Amino acid sequence: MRTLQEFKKFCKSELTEDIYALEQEREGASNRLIFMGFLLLAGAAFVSFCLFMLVGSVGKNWKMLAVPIIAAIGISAWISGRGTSKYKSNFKNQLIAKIVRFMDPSFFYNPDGCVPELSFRSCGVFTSTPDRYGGEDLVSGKISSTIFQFSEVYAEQKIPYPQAFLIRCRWMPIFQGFLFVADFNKSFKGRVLVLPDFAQRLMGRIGQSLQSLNKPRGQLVKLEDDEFEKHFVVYADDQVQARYVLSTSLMHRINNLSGKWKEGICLSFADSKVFLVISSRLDFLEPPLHSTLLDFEVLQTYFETLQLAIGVVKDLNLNTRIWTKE
Amino acid sequence: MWIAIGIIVAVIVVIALMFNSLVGKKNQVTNVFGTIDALLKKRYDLLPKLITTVKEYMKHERELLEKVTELRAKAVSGNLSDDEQVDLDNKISKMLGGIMVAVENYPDLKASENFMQLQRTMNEVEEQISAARRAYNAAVTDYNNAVEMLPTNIVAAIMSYRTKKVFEIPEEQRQDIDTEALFKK
Repeated sequence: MRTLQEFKKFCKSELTEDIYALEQEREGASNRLIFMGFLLLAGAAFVSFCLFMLVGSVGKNWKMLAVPIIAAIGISAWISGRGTSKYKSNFKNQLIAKIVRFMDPSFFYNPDGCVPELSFRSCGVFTSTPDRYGGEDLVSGKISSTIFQFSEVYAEQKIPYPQAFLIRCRWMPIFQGFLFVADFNKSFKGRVLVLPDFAQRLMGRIGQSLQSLNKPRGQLVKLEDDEFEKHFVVYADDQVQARYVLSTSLMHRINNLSGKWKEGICLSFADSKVFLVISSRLDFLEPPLHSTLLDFEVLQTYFETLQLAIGVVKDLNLNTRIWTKE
Repeated sequence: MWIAIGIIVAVIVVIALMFNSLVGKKNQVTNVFGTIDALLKKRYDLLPKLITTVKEYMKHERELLEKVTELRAKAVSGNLSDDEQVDLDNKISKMLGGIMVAVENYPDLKASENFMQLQRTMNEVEEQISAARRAYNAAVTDYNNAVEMLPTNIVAAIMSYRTKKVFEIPEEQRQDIDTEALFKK
């Protein structure tokens, strides 16, 4: 694992040119956006004023006056996306790609790729099947004996609803966040789900009794680690397999891992793989638009994010291969 | 009158639910004990391979290997009660631990492909047995809670259900393995 000192040296020796070039692109994109934003808002305010003068009073017509301003905000957001796409693409292909290769030259980074939908479905954390699935910032590789990949993903479901004589659809989000998949170090059958435990924290034993009614998830598994039980609820197809997968040392490691991700984590063990799911609206590897790239702390966050993600292999001790799975 | 009938029906339903719950928990204990049995059989099947692989190298541990063979024969004889089975299993576990420690003294054996594969398989079986024991203890705890706590303890007393023991390592086997004594044997 790389240290922060090594990363600092790497930035000074290998990334300086890219950082300066991207900083110029960033400033240009940011200035263009601010200018376009002001222009559109000024235009919208002028149109609203004209409408106000024509109509004579605000009163019942306030919605009509708000329309140009809302339209201006919408157009600004659209232009913002298009205006920064080149900067975003260059940022990822030049800077993030180099940082990933610095972490390990054998790692692969695809800014437009994501963990396959099959993996998302097979993890079993989500009960809904997505109708739309995608993601970005796929990183994959192998650390010692463990193959892994992770990316940001989003999944949505189409919900039809009737309106007059038509059937319309709206998109309901199933998940948005971070998905990590790695080879688990034991072979096992069935599935073990480790989900955040809200019921027990709020309602104690009653909450635990209610959890046991959640049959589609499988059998409720009550484990010996009190700290683990406080934060997680476990469902599995088989009580013995669940304990085979969740050894006392692994539970301890999961507790520690959970402390590193403030968003809260879910885990699934299936098909002899481990899935780590973190729900978050944040984009992990997006370029800054209104803060400078010349500040090392900005780059440090990308390094630490990647370090945290790659570190899951070590945190869960996935490279200990003393069983039949090599 | 209808209220009285309703109360009686509700009481019967609650008693039936408690009865079913107790039976379910008892069966779960039996089920997991059966899983431990199956896993122990897997371990007993591996023991002859282990003895054959290591005895050519480990000339000084003959007594230990003979003891394991003897215990294994007793275990597969099938004439043991549950408590005797558990006791035998604990003794075999301790001796296996002793063999694995003694192997450290034989680098040729440690490096042998046969032994490495066997060691991985044994590790897996031991880990599964440990998981099954934990599952058994959880099932027994659940069952014991139902037998001792209100209101299910009333139904349990009527059904003559008694608490069961969880898996425990006997006091003498909780001591650290004396590796020096093992090497001297």
